[in-house]
Amino acid sequence: MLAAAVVSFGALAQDFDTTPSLSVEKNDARFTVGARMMADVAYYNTQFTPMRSGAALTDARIRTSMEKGDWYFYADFDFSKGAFKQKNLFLQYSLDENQTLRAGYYNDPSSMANNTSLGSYHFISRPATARSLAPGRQLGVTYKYINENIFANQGIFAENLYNNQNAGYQGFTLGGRWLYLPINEKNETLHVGISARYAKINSGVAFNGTVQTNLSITTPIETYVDPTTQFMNAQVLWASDEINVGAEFLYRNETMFVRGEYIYKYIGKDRDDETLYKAQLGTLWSWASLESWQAGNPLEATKFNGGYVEAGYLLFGEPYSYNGREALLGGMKGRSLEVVARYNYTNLNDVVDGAYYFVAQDKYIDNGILSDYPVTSTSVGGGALHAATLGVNYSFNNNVHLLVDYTYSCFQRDKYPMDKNFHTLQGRLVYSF
Amino acid sequence: MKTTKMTNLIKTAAVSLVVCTALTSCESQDVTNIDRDAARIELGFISEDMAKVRDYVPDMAVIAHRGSVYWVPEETEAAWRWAREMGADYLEADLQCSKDGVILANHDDNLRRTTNIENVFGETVPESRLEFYMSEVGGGMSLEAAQEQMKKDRASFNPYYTNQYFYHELAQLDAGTWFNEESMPEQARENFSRIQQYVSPLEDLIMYAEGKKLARVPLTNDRIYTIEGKWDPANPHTSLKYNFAYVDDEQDTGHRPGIYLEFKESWLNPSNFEEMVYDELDRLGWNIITEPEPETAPFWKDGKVNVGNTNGKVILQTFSFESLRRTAEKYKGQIPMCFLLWHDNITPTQYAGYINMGLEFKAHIIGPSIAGAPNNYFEMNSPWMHGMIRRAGMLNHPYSFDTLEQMNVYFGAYHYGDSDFEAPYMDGAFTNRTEITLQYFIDNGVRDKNAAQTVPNPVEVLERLGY
Repeated sequence: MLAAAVVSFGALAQDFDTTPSLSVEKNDARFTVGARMMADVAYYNTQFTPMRSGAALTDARIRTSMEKGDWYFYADFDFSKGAFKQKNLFLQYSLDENQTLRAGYYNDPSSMANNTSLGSYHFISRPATARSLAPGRQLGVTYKYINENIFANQGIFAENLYNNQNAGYQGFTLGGRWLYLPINEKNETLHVGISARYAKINSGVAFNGTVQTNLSITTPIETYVDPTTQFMNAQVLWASDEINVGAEFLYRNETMFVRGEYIYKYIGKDRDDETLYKAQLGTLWSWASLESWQAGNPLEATKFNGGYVEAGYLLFGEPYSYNGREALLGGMKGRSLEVVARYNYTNLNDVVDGAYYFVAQDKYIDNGILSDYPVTSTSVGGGALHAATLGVNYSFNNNVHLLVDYTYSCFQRDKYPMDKNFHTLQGRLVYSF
Repeated sequence: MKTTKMTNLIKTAAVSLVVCTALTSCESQDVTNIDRDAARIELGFISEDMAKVRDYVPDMAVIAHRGSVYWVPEETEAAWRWAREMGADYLEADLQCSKDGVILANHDDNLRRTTNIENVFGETVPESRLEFYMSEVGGGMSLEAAQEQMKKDRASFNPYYTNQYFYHELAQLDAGTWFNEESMPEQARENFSRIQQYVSPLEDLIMYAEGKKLARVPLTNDRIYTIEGKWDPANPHTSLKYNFAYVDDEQDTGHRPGIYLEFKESWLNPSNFEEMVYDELDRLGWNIITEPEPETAPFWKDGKVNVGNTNGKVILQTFSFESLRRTAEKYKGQIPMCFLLWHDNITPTQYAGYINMGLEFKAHIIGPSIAGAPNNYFEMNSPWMHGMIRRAGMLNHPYSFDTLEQMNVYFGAYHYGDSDFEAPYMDGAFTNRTEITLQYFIDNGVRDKNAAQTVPNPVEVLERLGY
């Protein structure tokens, strides 16, 4: 049963969902080359702040792989928008039919949406929740175990790819995705599960004799043509510990799918109070004691959350598939036509009840009493987004897909009181081999 | 055959959609347009009750900024007598507080620039204070108690801040000579030194507005005052009472301007400072909440300023958020209030934030900074900004005019009539050059016909006043 749901071992990799057309086999080794492009066009109708309608080459990849025996190597690179970007680069070893080890640079496992190739995605953009709250690619090692009813993928990662932080040494990440598959048939699959991630954040910038960390959490409004992240944007200073807890489900049969994911993010904070307190001494306006400085500069954990539900219905074409190796929904195949819908909610607001917000200076006063020198606010107003998408996707064949999405986004952020409603009409042409 | 047709149809539809979307997006290409944003951004609107108080303020008021920083040593007897005699509608002042609760005027957060405090007291607690503490008004302390109090004073002493000194100590300072030393030679006048200019209590300002001047000791020219009470460190701001003496100003020509009082940064003053000012206005008969003027009183009468006899006689102002809130709590919007702005590169959304905050905390007037030499402040009074203030039903009192060029700019001389917002971009002006502003208003037909239609020569006024 399992074997039926799992395609040839290393043939598919993250970010690509099609078997490479070009391959060379010699001495038990197989070398493949492939490529992919995505061209998007988008029209934005905004209430106040304009977005830049237009067209963009949002993805241009070259991929290669080498498979020999139990070893598999994969690399792909993006050069869209005229800039080279490192994408996946990993080595994988198969312990047996159920177990693999992977090392290199690739997606942290703790998110269904971010592990699904954009080439296989049934929407032009991943949901804002995944783009903001879920992790992306990291440098690390994972161990994966799968059987007919269990999927368990977990690993450890470094804080950044090139150890090029301004100050401090790198932290680490532990992440995993654990699923139970009560139904795992060729024509029907149901999986439910959880994900979790812990990140220790150590690196940042030098600040008054300490390392000041900052967790930047942003997302565009479910589009790639105008990639601005000014609307949904939370900067969390002194972040030290990041915990993601998630839950997900996926059901698919041959003609429909429905899947969803919820992510709760807790960001603990830490800083060297004593050093910072000493650094501010020596002026008329200095805090006179460590306790008073701490009272004036409180540090509170920040919490965000979000979730989405996606559904699709196949009008005609090749049935929906399930990639059991990755526990992900497959992309469109052959000549197919589908309609899809999504609702996403993302909350990057963590504002103290009763806080007074002063838009002119983008400042919260947590006790709600207007004053000249309030204590530092613990409120974070990164924005909240409700986004509803309807889409129609047509697949000409395994290589060429056309996607059209309309998205209505209802946005709420104190900093942008006039920007409430966004309408986005997008189209995408995908070609991959 | 059927399949082929379907495929072609879908292909055609797809290509058409992409092309149409691209064309539509090109046609509707949009960028941020500040004028358009300013015109459509959501703003509050002044309430009916607040509008009634707003209308206490005369249109196109000429506000003598600190009296003047150009002609005279600012915020002194010379400055405000000059401004009154020039025909300014308001005498403007920055309020702070002495250690013993005298409300006084000083612009900077300390007294170094505008007095000789560094020479008189240095960075230490005035030594004469020990003797004061042992005197009857100083508390009648024993030597030991006085020394203990001095020790406490030294422990918390921040030199040069007004709230660190008793007023009788501040009265020893010369607030006039620095002007002669710092300003251009044309503005320097020997009598700014010879006739001692004092750090001015609020009471002085009010008396100048009423046509009086300081009573001085003949020959020495020292001001005359007495102190009553017994200073109590537990009750430092109300245990002493100063009785300042004034005389009718023989040079008074009958102008009765109002006063425009700024609450300075909240940390410079006691937390009940707005209440202290309320009580002081009350004591001096200038609190229109408790002692309103006739509603029919004109702002100008027979060519003389009469604002000081109307309900617009006092306007309050502040940059301070805390003071804005406390003023709203104490005065409840019943005295005209100006919210002063200071912000670089502001957007319409941010500007609306200030206006809405002003409305929320019962301000009737917005006071934006203006650009241009010599101060080169942030531009907070562009046409669109003025348009937003007007759309909220508030008045616009920009600060501070120093040149004819600035008058031209904010009267729209360089917008060639193309601006979306109607000039002039003000409803009054803080000015260091009362003579320029008055003449400009007269020449452009915005000065009330009941006001004087000629402007005195500023130098002749100074000479007439004895400087």
